[in-house]
Amino acid sequence: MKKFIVLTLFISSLLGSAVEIEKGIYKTILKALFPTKKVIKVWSDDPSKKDLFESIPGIKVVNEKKIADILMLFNTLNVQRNSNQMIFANGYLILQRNKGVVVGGFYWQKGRPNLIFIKNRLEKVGIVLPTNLQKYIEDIK
Amino acid sequence: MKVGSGFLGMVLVLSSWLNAENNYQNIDYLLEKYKLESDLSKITKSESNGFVDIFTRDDIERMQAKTLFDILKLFTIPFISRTNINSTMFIKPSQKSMPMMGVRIFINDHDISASVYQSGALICGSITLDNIDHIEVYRSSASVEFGNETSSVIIKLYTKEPSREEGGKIRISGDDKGSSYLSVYQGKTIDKDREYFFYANTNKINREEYYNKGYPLKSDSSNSNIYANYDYNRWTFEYGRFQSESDPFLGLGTQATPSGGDIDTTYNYLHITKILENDLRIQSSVDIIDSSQYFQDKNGIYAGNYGFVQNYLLNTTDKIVSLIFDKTFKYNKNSLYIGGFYKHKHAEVEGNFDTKSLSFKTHYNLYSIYLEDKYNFSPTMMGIVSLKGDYYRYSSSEIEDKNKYIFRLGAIKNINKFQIKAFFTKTYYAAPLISLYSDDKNVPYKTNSSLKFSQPTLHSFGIRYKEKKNIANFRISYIKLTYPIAYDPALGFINKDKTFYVQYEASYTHKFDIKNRITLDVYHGRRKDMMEYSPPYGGHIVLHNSYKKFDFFNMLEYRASYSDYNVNVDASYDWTLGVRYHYSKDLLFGIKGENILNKGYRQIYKGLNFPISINDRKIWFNMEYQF
Repeated sequence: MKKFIVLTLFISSLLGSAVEIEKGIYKTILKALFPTKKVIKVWSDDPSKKDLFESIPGIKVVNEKKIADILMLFNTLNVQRNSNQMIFANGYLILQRNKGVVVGGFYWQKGRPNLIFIKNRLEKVGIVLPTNLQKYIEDIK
Repeated sequence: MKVGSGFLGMVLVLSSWLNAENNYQNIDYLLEKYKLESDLSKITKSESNGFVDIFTRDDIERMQAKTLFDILKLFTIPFISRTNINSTMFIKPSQKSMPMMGVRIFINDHDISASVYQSGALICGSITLDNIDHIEVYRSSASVEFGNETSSVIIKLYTKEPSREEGGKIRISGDDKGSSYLSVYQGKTIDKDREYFFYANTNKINREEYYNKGYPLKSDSSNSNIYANYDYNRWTFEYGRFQSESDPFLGLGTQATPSGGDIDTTYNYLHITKILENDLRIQSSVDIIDSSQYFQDKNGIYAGNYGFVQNYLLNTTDKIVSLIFDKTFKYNKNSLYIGGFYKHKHAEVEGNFDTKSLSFKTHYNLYSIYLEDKYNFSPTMMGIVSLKGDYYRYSSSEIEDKNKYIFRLGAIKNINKFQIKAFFTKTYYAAPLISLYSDDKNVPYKTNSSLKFSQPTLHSFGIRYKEKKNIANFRISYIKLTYPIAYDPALGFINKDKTFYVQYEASYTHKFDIKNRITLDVYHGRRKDMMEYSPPYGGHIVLHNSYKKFDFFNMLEYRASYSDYNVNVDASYDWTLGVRYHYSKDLLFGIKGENILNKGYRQIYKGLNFPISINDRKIWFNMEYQF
């Protein structure tokens, strides 16, 4: 229902425990995508996620999109980016609309949270995921 | 103990797995935990509305629940049974039954209401659950924050959120008695402002057949459910339909010897919600309920002033139009909720009783205003004050208009791992229209236009202990009931002397890990006169377990012995065991045994010299595929 959508915007303030877990998931994702970087520069289109990312050690939230290593999209269906920047989709519709450019997605579908990494995008940027994330790689065209 | 040894054996086997190191890899574990911790019930539940029990999506799925009746089996006070015409009824321990006005069911914010019988609780057993995300049950509630008609037990069903589905599911089930169940749903977001959800279900439930004096007591039913919603920006449009055709079971005959009949009910509603930019919420809805009850009994069915008849047909049509508005204001330490509604409730009644007939129409308007203020004395202490005024205006000059008021005081205090709740509620249950008004023949019931509304006064206290792996609850309620309503064939509907009732509940849950837990609960209810017309106490042991690709649900329900109408019923033990196998992420198979010991709760009925089990011994087979 629409009220859930309105509430979902504030989900991070309501579900303290869920936010802690979400933090752990994003930490795993970002460390896997940038295994050698000491500081990962993250840009997000959702201001309410700023605290979450900043609380992850080794993550720096930047306001300028062009200096970011990765763009985390929660709302924007189409985004401009530099060719060396990664894009990560945090919504099913965002993933569907940007299949050709996103490196992966973390989103709700079929009543459960899903995590995927897109094979050809990983190959293009030369990333080999750790063993525990290999099963989340999908060959999506 | 011989009875339940199978269940206890299962408990031991499953318990041996619980200490085994879980096989989750770190990210799998995080995703699973994120799913559970992000359950929508954590957003929608309101601790200030009374004592709340939650059935999460995970609980409902693991139980392989198909209808609301499957969930109601876990209720303590009130517990469930079925009426002589095969509908769901609620019973408080030791009591004969609970007034149906005492329980209200909501689907999202829509009250499943009625004009003739006042509450939609009668159809609740046939509400199917595949479109439902989670269920909240509130007790000792004043109904103010739900902004609708009054009740002390509120069952809120929340439908699945399209943005969490982005796909659909098909479910097919069948049992060893030839029952079948098919449901399908799909939910999608179209763009940032639009989303939809569609659900359809059809099912045929075959029940055990009994005989009384050579007459078959059948209670098979065929049901269908449709639910759809469409969200656009701050508009929500919802449509729901429940349709049910049922055998008459015992019927209404005084000797419970039905020779034919059927009960057909169709419930349609449309509900529109608009949230304005200033967060004022406006809701409007239309409900149309058509019911046809036909009974044949050669030994006589009592039909008010027509006396005894052999053929009894009663058709009712309810039309309800509602307009509701509400808004929450937050300032400093206060959260002030203000609302109001207008309801027009129209009823058409037609009947044929052998050669005689009946036809009348009536309606009433209900105006309501309410407010609730929650004041945070400190971060750990909240006080709640609720006030509601309901103004009933009847079209019939015979019925006196009524102004009724609800008052509620509450306090919630958190002390470390303990939470204490205390509520004082002065409320009322509106008398069903069918008890207040008929045509001048007083058929099929002897009505009483000067009947007073029942007025419960509730004193409730609860304490909860909660830490990472353990949750314990204790609740006690004292209920004083003024003007209880009863039906006497000679006198018709009457108000009886005031009485009181005391109820106790305790529960304990231990979580072994995120997928394994055990819950135990016990309950007891006592009448003023100490009579026991139903089990005075009972309890459940419930186990949720997972092992590799298997999920297990175990429930043993105990209800004490009781007697009524010179029929004795021994203590009951109802064991349910469900096993699900996840073939893949999207495909699962399940099997579920119900009333495995065939010693489940049996209901005593007037006119019948043996009790009848409310749950048949059955095996269900289940397949679910997500797409």
